[in-house]
Amino acid sequence: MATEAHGDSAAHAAQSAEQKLELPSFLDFTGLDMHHQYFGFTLHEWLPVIMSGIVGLVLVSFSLYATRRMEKIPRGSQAFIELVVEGLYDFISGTLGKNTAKYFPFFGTLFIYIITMNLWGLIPLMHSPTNQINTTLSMAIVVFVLYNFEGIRKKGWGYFKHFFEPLFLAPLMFPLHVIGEFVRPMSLSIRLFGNLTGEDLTIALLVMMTPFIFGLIPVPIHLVMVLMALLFSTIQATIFTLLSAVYLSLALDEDEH
Amino acid sequence: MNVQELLAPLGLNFKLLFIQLFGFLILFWLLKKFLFGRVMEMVQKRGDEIRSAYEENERTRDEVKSLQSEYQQKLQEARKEAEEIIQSATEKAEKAGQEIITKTRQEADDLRKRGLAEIEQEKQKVISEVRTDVVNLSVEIAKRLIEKSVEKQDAEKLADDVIKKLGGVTL
Repeated sequence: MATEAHGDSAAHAAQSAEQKLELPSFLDFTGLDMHHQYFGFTLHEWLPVIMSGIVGLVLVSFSLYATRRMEKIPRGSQAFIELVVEGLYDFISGTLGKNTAKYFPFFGTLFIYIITMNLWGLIPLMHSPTNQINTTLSMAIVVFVLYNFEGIRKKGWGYFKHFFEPLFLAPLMFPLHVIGEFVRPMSLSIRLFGNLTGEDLTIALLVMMTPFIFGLIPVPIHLVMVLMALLFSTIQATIFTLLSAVYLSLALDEDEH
Repeated sequence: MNVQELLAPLGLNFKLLFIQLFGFLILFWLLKKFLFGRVMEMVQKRGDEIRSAYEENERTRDEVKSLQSEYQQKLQEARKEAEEIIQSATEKAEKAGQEIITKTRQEADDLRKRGLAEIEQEKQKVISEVRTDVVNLSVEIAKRLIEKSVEKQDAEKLADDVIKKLGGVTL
């Protein structure tokens, strides 16, 4: 009975999440039923995965295009991609220091992927995959596993020492530290997801409220929010990457936390 | 209530989460291989080349400096040597000139002396010839006079007197 009640509430919550206010995607114009099940999920549920796939495809395609013929004197797309990569390297090296070279591809991917996904929703008929908790939490879990794994690999069992500090308060601090540890990926993912959901909802709302002059010429009042979304998307991608790098840096740090 | 139920209002679904996670890992692998790997390799390569070019440049500059210093030293040595050569040549030339002048003077002097000697000799010869001619002439005159009016002994005495008087004559 209780299980059934739980199941109902979960289904209801999922349905309400699915019914949230959002702009149409290109899939809405394909004539496909968005609520039809494909491989156990509705097309609407697949949407963030499809958008992530497209983003990934675009990133990989552009990478392949820009690096197809690397020249000593960079031009065009190669110059752009080098500028981005070197800028990111400098940005991450500020946190990771001497460990930068080893972990740079991971954090570079993280930043580029998140910022592209964040901005993706600003393209008409596209959605930001980062306004789904599944997308943000998946990356946060990878970060969580990475920094714990690297910390244990580097320090062995000594890595868990900080869970018991200060020692005289160990019984009290241990659960707090454990909770704190698990809160990290949650805070990372919910922050990004929340911000992007807020942005997209506001834009969708403003689009729906668009006034028409003489009932013909639309006034794009959502444009201000789009401009702000450009800024917020960049900031959120930066925060996610920077905090992830800080967690790793703390895990690898020789000194105790 | 488990985590999925707790986060269900947010739209959490573990299957979709796993798909996204797997997608992210694939993207990471692809970007590491085709973007960061290539770009960092190129940046590293370029950095190495710039470093090597810079080192080469430094080395060349040092070499140039060393060569320049060597060149300057050699130039100074050459100048010094040239000056020495010029000085020595000048000295030699002066010496040779002096020698030539001395020799020429000597020769001129010799020539003059020889000329004077020859002149003197010629003079003596002429005097002697004149004297002989005068004697002969005197004798001839005396002979003729004697033949006419004077004894031979008186004639000879007369001739001797004439000769003695002629001895004081200079040309």
